[in-house]
Amino acid sequence: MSAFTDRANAALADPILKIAIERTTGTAEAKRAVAVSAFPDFEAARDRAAAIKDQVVANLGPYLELFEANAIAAGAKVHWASTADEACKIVIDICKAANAKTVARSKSMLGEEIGLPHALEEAGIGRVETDLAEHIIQLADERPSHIIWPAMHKTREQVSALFKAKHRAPHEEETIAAMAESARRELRTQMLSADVGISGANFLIADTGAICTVTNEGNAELSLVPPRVHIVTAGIEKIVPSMPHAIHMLRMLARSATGAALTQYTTFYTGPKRPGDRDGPEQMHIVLVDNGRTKMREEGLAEMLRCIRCGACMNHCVVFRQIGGHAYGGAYPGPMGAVLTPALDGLPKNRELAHACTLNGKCQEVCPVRIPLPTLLRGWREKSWREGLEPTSMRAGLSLWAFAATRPGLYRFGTGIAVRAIRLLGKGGWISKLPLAGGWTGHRDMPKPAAQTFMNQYRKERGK
Amino acid sequence: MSARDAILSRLKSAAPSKAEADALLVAPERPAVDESALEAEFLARLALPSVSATHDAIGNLSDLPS
Repeated sequence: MSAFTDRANAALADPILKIAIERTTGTAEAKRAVAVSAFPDFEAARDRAAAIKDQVVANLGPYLELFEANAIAAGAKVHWASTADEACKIVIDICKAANAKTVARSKSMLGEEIGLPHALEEAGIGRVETDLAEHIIQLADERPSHIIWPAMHKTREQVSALFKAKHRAPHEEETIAAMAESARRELRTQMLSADVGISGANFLIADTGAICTVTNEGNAELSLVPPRVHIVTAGIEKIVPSMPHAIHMLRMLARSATGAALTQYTTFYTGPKRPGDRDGPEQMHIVLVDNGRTKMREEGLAEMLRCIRCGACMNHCVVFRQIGGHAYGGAYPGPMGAVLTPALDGLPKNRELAHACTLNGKCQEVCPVRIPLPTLLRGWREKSWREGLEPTSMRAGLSLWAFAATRPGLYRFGTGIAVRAIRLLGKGGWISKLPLAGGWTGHRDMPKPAAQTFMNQYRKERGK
Repeated sequence: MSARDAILSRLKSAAPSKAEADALLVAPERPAVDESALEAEFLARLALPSVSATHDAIGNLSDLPS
C-alpha cells in the first residue's frame, strides 16, 4: 500500500474526522450557494476573474517588474527566490539581521509550501501563529488540513481539550466565546511583542506596490503593524494589475471561500511606516517566490496559476469530504492540491493524487476563476502513464484490455465468458470478492452482472 | 545569475497594455451605484464616535481591553 492509500484509509477509519469535515464543508457549501445566488450574474464575474488572471500570467514578467518598482518607491525591499530553500534563507537572514527572537505569523499557505515554520524552528527563532486555527494546529504539532480552515479536522471538543492542556489561563466554560477569550489571552501579548511579523499576500497590486491580506480575525493587522519588521512571502502569480482588479478578485474570493461578501478585515499595506504615520513597521520586505510557478506556466499548467486559494474546490469535492486534507500529504489538499503538489514536489512522489478523483467536475463548476481542474488532473494521469510511473500490474491489465478492446470479436467472446464466470462468484445478488479487483471489492460489494452482456440482449431485442 | 534575473528571463513578454487590463473590469451586469452618495455615507460613518472608545488609540498594552 502506498503512503497516500495508508493516509486515506486512516482518515476513512476516523469517525470524528468525518464529523469535523462534514460540519465545515457542509456549512461552506451552503453559505457559498446563498452568496452566489444573490450575486448579479456570477458566471460573468467568473469569466472576468479568469480573464484577469490569464492576462496577468501572460504578462507576468513585466507586471512583476512594475510591482517591484512601485514597492521599492513605497519604501519596501523586494527579494526574489527561485526555490523554497532560497525563500526560507531570505526570511531567516532578515530575521537574524533584525535580531529577532520571536516572529508573529499571519496565516500563509505559501509559508507552509516552502516549509517556513520548520526553517524558523531550525534557526532557533520562536514562532507565534496568530490565526486561531494555525494556533490550534501549532499547539497540536500538526499540519494544516484545509487552506482556509487549517484546523478543520478538529472538533470543538478536541480544541477545548487542547486549550486546557496548553494555555496558561484556559477557559472554564465550554463555550466558543470562552475558548476564543482563552486564545486571545494566550496570543495577544505575544503578537504585540514579536520582533518580526511574517505574512503571505492574497494579492500583490502592480500599479501601487501594495500587498493585500484578508482575514476574519484581524490577526494579520495585529501581527504586521506593531513589529519593527514586516516580511511578506508571496507566490509570483499573486499579482493583479491594479486596485480595481484586486477588488473584483476579492468579491469572488470571499464569496467562494466562506459565503461572505467580504472578509472582516481586508487590508492593503503599501510600504513601511512613513514619517508622520502613528504606527507601522520600520522595514517591509517582500519575498517573491517562484518555486516551480514559471515551470508550470511553460508546461501546460498556466491555468492553475489563476488560483486565488478560496478552497471552494475542496469544499465540494466528494473525495476530500471523505478523507480530509492530511491524506493528500502536501501543503495543498483537495482538487487544487492534487494539481499543484505534483508540479511543486514532483510527479513520481505524488502520482496517486491525480487518481484521487472521480472526475465529476464539481470543482470546476464552483471554481471562481474557472480552472479546468479535471482536465489538468487527466493531464497528470497521462503524463504519469507516458513516464511509466503506473504500477506494472495496472500497465499489464490495461494493456491486455486495450488489446482485446481493439478486436471486437475477441472482446465480445471474452466478455461473454467473463460475465458467466463472475456470476458464479455472486451470493444473494452481490459479489463481495472479485479476483484482480480487490482494490474495488475490498471496500464495497458489486452487484451480480446480468446473465447476458448488453450487446447480446440488444441483438435479441432487435431480432424481435 | 541572480534569482531575479533567472525568474524574469523565463517570463519575457511585451509590457502589458493598461487599456487591455482595464477592459477586463467592464461589468455590464453590475447594478448602477451612485458613487458620490456612497462616498458621503462612508465619510459620515467615519465621523461617528467609535463603538468602543478603548479601541481608538492603543498606546501600550494596558490600553487593550482585558
